[in-house]
Amino acid sequence: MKNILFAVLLCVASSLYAADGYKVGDVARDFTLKNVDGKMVSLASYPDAKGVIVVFTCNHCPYAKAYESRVIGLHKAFASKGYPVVAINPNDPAAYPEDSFENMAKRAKEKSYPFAYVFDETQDIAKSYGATRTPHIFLLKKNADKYEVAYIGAIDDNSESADAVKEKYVEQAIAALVSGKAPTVSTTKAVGCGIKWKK
Amino acid sequence: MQSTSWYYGRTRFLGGFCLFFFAALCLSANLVAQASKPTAGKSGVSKKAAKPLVEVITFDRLQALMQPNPDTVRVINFWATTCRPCIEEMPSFDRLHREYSLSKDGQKTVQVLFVSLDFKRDIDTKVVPFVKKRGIAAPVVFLGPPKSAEIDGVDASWSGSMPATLIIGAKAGQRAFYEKKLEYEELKDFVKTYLFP
Repeated sequence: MKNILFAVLLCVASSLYAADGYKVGDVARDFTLKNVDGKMVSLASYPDAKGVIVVFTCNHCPYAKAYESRVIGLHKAFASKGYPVVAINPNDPAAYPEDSFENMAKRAKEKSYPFAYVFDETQDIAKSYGATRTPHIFLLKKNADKYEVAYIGAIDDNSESADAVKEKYVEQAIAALVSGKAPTVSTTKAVGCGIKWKK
Repeated sequence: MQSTSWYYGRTRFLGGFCLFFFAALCLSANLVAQASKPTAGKSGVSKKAAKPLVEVITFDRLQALMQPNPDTVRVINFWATTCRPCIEEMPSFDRLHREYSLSKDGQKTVQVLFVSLDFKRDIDTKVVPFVKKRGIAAPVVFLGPPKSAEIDGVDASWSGSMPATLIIGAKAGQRAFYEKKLEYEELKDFVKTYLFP
């Protein structure tokens, strides 16, 4: 009896935690979220883009902080080639006041973010995309007026040290898209801070 | 193993000014080491280093620790000093360790293992002081941020967020993975399913 109960429990648990959200190849929804400069930002705000590097990130998380300069680097390297970064903070500031909109604006100013840093206040976008942690990257490829998910996962294979990186997943995925191919590695995982969902 | 075995407690004794005091301090260090770790050899003399408070392990070693054991239910918790929900749930795991790690009447035990995924540079400055300060009873090992394939190797369903917990029963196939914070009663119920199947 206990076995059956446990099996049922497991099924319920696994359905709850099954990766909802996007898989590679899915069409990603657009959004309209407030940027740190007060303006609203959408995927449609980038009419000339060939794709968008969507980065779910935040202020407080040490893994996100470790990647901050690398995210800036990605935008600097690829925005001019048609792949800008859009950083989205999905965290509930009630859990971490450091992740409030005011503190996002402060951080963006301090570090001169060259990209949009928007606030997913309702957390709907993080849920639709299936983001679970910060940082969590969704590389989108523009196909006519739709954005297709081309890569999901980590920026590279070493969160602690940029110098020790062996595989630059996002760069390799963009290089593949630029040459008209599908990324060889289209999904990776990395540890990060769980998104702080509203209670 | 020896190359990764570090002993953290002795650095504070490096302040001796003369040979006599230095010798006395070394002796007291050994006594402390032996008192807290009865199985440790004569540290400083023997080549066998005392067991470190936080052992640095490789993923291969973790995989060995993830194998089912007929006498025990393994509870492996992935955490970091910077992860608040992880820290909040640690006392529940430690309580489980205190209540079930010793066998009563030949019953299966529960072996709790905390696996730190902190950055390597934070072992001495954050992880070890944290474990000392909190007086964590269950063993703590340090893995560091795992690679993509290693996260899959722990569990295919793990997206990489913390806290995360893997429970492995004594029999093959008894396995559950939770990518969320667990409360004590919940944790105990999960473990009991494998302890008294």
